[in-house]
Amino acid sequence: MKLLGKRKPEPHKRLYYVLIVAAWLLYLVLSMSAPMTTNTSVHISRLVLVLLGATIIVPYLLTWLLAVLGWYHFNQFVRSAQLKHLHHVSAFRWVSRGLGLLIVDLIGVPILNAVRGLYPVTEITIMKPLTILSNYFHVAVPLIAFGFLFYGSRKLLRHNHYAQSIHSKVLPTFVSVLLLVVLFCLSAFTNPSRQTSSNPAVIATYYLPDVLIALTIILPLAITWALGLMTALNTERYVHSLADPRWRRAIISYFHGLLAIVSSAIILQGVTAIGNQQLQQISLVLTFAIVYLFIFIQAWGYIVIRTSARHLRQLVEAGNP
Amino acid sequence: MRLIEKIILILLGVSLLPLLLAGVLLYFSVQHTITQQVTDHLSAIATIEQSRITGIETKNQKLLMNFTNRVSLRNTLDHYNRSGGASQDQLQLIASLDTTLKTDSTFARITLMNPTGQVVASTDRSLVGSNLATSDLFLLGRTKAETVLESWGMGQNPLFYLSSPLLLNGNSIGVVTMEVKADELLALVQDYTGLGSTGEVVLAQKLSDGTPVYITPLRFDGQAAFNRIVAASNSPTLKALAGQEMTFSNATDYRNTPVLAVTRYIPSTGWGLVVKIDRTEAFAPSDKLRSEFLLLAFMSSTIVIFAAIALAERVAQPILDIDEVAEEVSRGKLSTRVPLSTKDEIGNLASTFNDMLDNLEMLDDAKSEFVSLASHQLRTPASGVKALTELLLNGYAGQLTDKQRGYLQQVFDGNERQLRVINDLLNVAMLEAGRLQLKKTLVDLPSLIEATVTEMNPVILLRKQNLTVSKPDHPITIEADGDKLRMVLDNLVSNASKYTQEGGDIKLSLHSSGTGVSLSVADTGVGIKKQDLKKLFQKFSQVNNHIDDPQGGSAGLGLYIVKKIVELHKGHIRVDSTPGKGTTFIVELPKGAA
Repeated sequence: MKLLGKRKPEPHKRLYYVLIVAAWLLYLVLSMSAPMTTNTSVHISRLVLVLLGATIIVPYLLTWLLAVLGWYHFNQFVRSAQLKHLHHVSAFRWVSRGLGLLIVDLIGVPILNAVRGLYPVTEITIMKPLTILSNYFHVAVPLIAFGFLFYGSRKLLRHNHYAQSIHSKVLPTFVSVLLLVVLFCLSAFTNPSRQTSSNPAVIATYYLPDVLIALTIILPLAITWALGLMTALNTERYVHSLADPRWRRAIISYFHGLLAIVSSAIILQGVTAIGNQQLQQISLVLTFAIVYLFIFIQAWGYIVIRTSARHLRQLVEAGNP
Repeated sequence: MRLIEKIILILLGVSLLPLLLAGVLLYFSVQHTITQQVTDHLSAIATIEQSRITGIETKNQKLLMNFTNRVSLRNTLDHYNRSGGASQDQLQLIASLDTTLKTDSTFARITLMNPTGQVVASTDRSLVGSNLATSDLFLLGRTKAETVLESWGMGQNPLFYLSSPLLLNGNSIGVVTMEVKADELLALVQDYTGLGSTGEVVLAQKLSDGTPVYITPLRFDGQAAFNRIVAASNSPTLKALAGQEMTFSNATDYRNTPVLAVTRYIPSTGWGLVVKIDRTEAFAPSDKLRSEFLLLAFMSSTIVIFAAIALAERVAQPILDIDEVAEEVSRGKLSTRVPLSTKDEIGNLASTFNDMLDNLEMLDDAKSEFVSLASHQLRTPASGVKALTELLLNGYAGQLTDKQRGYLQQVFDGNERQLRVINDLLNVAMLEAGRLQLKKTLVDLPSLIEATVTEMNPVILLRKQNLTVSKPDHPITIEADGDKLRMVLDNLVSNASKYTQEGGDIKLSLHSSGTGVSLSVADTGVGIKKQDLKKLFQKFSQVNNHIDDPQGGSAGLGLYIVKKIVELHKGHIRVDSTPGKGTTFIVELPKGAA
């Protein structure tokens, strides 16, 4: 019997809820099991520190839920499009895969870091492989995700007879990525604890020689950011090629959501790859401002994706595109 | 470069360049200020430490002087020397030394020697009676008062060794050596107040063989006193020992760590003094600023880049809509309108553009109406002329002379051309008014091609051209208007023949695929220049092809009509051409689309 005003969640959706709650519990259990460390650089009481932490953790964990719901609705739209034999469907399927991988990164990295937090910082034999694993995970997963998103956006353009040459996007992409890479390199290579940490309370950022940092961290990051930018430019181009105003409105919404997700993913990659020692140097107010901004952009992006996916699905089911 | 790319680059430049520039300037300014402030601070500490060390030295000298000035002590020692070692005197001297040792806790040991170096009295009983004539302290103290800092073993705190001759009436009666604890000096160098967690005061001296050594324990090496040699890379300490008082903004210390350092020289002892602090600690505020700046710049750049893309999309979209509509209008679709999505200047432009299109469409309708009316009015008398001329040429009004027939034939040909133009104008008028209706039947394309070839063959043979046809043997039917498709074929083959020289080749091909057919007419004629290809399908377009049109009278409407007919069949036409080599028109039609 259906209750008035309440809808029974669909079976798949229920599974996603269960998975998210499981991820939350895992993260919280791991975080609470970690040995408590004191940060002498911040002169605030432990209670205030815990409360401040909660103001970040709670919205951050909610972001996971929003992300998964956004992706779920996008996936539902792709399935509907598949059933209606929409000619764009294969492109959107690649986009969906890319978004899914970004969520894996969003949830996977904090859990990996929480696992690392279970061990004392001085346990170099454990810290080193876990740090390297976490770093490569955080580099490889977004790289593949952005690759999928880029491929999807290319396919969207091709479907609309925009077999556009990649050269038209080279200049803004090159300038933007160059700027980000220069800023990142300045930050990474001035980080004194990039290979080993002089502060026993802080783990080294990479545990890798500079050559490997450049080749296996910075180069893939640059490729990831270039793919992210070109995805955004392709999608913008695709928006312009649409004639149906309702379809265009829904896609513009999706485009804005995608911009927010891609930009927040780049910010997250950049900030976490910079390293703990660098982050500990900056003021607490700035740290919180950055984290809140990141959470806001990320959450807004997935909310917009969810809304646009629902509109797209309605349009597909009404046979409008 | 597209508008969006320009907007991204401009926004990046405008928003981030000042930020980057300001950040870099601020960073270097802060670094400069920190260098100045820290080195001033180190200089102040160095000056104070230098003065304190000199004070310790003076105090030691005073201790020695006070001791050697004791009259009773000197008289007793003199009496002891002259009496040949009276035990009474010796006991008195030892008691006196013990009393002095007790009055001042800084004394570690006091020893009195006679002029031959034999120990007469000492607070260390084991030394009494021994001869120290060869010891450095005896040799130094024999002539003048001396202070030496020395350590006698690893981890042993250094002691001051003070020695001085004891004189009575200008004659030497012995030598006194006092070992004084260097606690005050050690407390001084180990007081890190104002030096953070890495700063320290370093003292070094050259040994008698010239080897530079540290003489007090170091902050990061507690065993360094008289044990660790100053490395050649440690330039501040070496400069200090060389008597040079300098400021170093970037040097390395005994750990090879980059430091800010200030050097001083203490002439009375020959010691070099270095006050230093690690650069990482000194520049921690600027490093913090750099980290914050880089993080903010990275985040701002990312947000600006993606905001620029979003903004560019919003700004560019209405402009692109206008551009798209303008392109449609240039292709003849005057009914297209710009969607009014904004109420700003671009929205006003779109609205004005739409008003302009309304007027243009009205004018075009009026023109089409006029052309239709005029053509219709022209066709009726022209058709009458054609019928009557045909009657005359066929001899229904009597036999004609060759001259009369020639003139009449010219009238007939001229009338034919006129009718063709009138028909074209009428077709165009009907197309634009949307009154050209397709009469759909099942059309067998190979048969249609055969009919065209049969009709065109005489003209082609006359021009000595070779027409070949490539088509399947079996029927290929599509749902279409046969008469209109015939017009398309006639037009394309006629054009191919018209623009191909004598002896040239014309090839008509038909291919069928799953859902459509492809008709192509290829020639080896003069070809079309690239710039002419764009306007080829426009109304009244004339292409300069350097071949005389024997039929003349072309109004430039043929290909326009061909394209419209193909589009009415939901197909499309395209052209490939190379000037001097030939042209190929390809018509693609769906099998059941008409």
